[in-house]
Amino acid sequence: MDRSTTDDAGGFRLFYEREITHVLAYLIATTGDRWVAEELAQEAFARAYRDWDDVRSYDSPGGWLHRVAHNLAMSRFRRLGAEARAMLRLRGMRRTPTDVGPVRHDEEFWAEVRELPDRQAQAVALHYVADRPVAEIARIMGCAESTAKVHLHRARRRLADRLQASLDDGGDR
Amino acid sequence: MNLDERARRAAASTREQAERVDTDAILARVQRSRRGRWLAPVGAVAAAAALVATAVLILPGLGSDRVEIMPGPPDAAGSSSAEEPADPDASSPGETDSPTGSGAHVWQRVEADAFVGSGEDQMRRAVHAGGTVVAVGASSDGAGIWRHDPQRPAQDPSAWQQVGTDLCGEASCEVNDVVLFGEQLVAVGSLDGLPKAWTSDDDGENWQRVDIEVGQGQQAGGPTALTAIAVRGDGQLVAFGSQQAGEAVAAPFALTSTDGRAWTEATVDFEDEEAGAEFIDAETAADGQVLAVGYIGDGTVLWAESDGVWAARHLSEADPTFGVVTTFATSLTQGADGELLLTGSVHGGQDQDGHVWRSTDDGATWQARPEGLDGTGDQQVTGLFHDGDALVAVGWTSDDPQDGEAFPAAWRQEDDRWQPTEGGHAFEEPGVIRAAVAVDGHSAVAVGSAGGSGYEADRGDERTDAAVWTYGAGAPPAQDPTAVPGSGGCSASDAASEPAAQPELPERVSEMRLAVHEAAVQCDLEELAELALAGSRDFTYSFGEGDDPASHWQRREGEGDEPLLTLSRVLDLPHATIETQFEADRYETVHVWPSAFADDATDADWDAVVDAGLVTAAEAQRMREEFGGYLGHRVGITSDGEWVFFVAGD
Repeated sequence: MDRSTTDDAGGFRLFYEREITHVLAYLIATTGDRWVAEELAQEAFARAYRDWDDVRSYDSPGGWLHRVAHNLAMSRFRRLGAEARAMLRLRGMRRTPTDVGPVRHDEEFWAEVRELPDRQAQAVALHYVADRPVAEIARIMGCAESTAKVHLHRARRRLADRLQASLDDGGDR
Repeated sequence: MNLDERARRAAASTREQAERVDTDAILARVQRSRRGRWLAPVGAVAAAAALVATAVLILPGLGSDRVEIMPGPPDAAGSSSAEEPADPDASSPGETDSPTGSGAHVWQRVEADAFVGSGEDQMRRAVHAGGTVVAVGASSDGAGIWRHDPQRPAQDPSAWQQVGTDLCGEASCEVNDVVLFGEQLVAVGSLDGLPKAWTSDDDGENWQRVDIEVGQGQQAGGPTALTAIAVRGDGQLVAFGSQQAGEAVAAPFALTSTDGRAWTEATVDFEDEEAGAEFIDAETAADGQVLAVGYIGDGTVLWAESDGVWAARHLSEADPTFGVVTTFATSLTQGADGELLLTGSVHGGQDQDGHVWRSTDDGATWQARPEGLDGTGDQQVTGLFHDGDALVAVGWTSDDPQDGEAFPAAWRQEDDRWQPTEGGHAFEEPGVIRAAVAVDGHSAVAVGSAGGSGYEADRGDERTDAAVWTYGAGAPPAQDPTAVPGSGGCSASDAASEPAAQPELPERVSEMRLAVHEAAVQCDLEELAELALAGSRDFTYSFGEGDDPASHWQRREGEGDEPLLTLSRVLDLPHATIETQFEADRYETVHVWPSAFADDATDADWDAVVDAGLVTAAEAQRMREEFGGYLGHRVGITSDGEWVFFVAGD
């Protein structure tokens, strides 16, 4: 039995229980693939577990976790490489889609989000799914708060345009 | 509808999805990730579980103190899937393979500690410079650059090291291509979503990072990477890259440089922004111009520069063997006499056939090379090199593409037809060769990835390690397969005449151990067979082999394996005891060598098998993490002195 299941030394299990749904939802939204989201969440938490003595001392371990998760998602996508993406396209011609369940009304929205430039998509997902305040979004994204606001503002304008939705001022404040 | 309202509804729905995930299972996997190393994803965990389950059935001592042993060979007929390991006795897991192959064409897998990372590691390209081979790719533990010590042969695992590991810091980093530019090496790739170059003035030993400004990429904000580089006839470097603007859409760009440090963006005529475009590889043609192969949408195109503008031409217009959307190009190489060679595959509806196309007019027209890359299942050609006058193609094959299993492969042009080259043990494990570079007229180094489930690994779905295969001329250093057993001359001829003293052993166990050891070092296969078959219990020496023990070991000695030397080394190691079951409801004590096989093996036990050369440190680490126990060669003798197994594998 390891430390976290015996006495939860350092509160890792508590941290996990608090963050897992948030980070999973964030990754489902940004990758569009639940299985990939699970894999990436697992890896992000594995890194947190490995370095828990350090991570627990951070101002926002949850923010750190989201940043790691996001980097992993980006890393995964880039690692596919141009060659592999081409292979995916080719293989996709004959691949039977796996069971994705019933069509969900959120899919169109997140599909549009994933078409946004990466930083804008990240800001939107953190804002709406992870429910992070702008100040923390900025910390996770490693940018100034004003920059995060700009990303969010541009993203919302573009989404409103593409989805033909009205836009309230202040949604990105 | 208001955007915020819609976003909140979408977020709530997504959170509901997340709440349905079995998070306890994820937590369990996180906690099983020993020392925080990357844990195999769901599929790999299932495969590993299946392997361990198999091992529990056929191995004494693995996974339980009291387990059943299946003395007879299970049906391993021709399977090479992860769930059903093929002939584990033929090569211990992860063993550095003995040279095998047909005639003069010998492939060897090099398994070095430097290739083992904690995630998705792979080599993508390689260059031969200054007597060394430098390979680039992606590494989970640092910059993806590896180099072999030019003073040592490329097939020596300890000659390989990862270099430039401090170039990326904590950021995500990958290196996609490398080129020799005068006395300098220049590599390109990306770091944290931004295009980067790296230069080395000392044949790849030390690297400097170059930050590159790409106006289009920076403004749009999407991840941007350089994917290919070549040297133009006028001495300018030309690098190609793309910026992602969605999963299937990328915007291409090209850069030029006179020194590898300062880069200028060129104009790319990008005909269809909605379709996206990418560069795959670049090469210098005989006339000095640089050509690049890539895609616009799903159509394969050849990019060339004219009046300062890079424009593309669809290859389906150049030769009917290129499918309009079904061609998958992988590399562009200059061959003999200035010809250009393009590798890839064409999807035929049911499967994928490998292809090599040749152009003798700098890419204006193309012809498919000889037939022979159209076997059952999928083939993919990813690179080429010359062995004398013959061309050798490398890549991968998959008999059953739907299950995602791919294996390294190579073909040699013979009599105007591609013939598979026998990879032997070198191609036994799933993996993908992505590129190859000739190191002289008759030898080459191929690079790629191993592990995972083959080309599923290309999708980033599974853990992979970087991988190197060497190709060399000359007959394999095989022993004479017709040697008379017991006549002297085998792999154990020079082994110590007696194993280390182990006075704690029961007398009958000790006698059998010494007898087996003596027969091994005397190369006396007949005596070994007699010892093996003397007992009342079945003797296990391989899984799935039909020959008798003496013939089996003789054949393996003839193939260049060293079973008798291994046997003598194993018996020289510390031992342990396990409880195992030969008959229902009756457990017996078996003395087993090496002690690393025991459930409670210590670090010292593992060190001993590494020091003895039975497995490398990397292989030992992988066995511990992925299988939970030692799976290399081992010997068992019952308490009453019966020799009951000498096996390896799972």
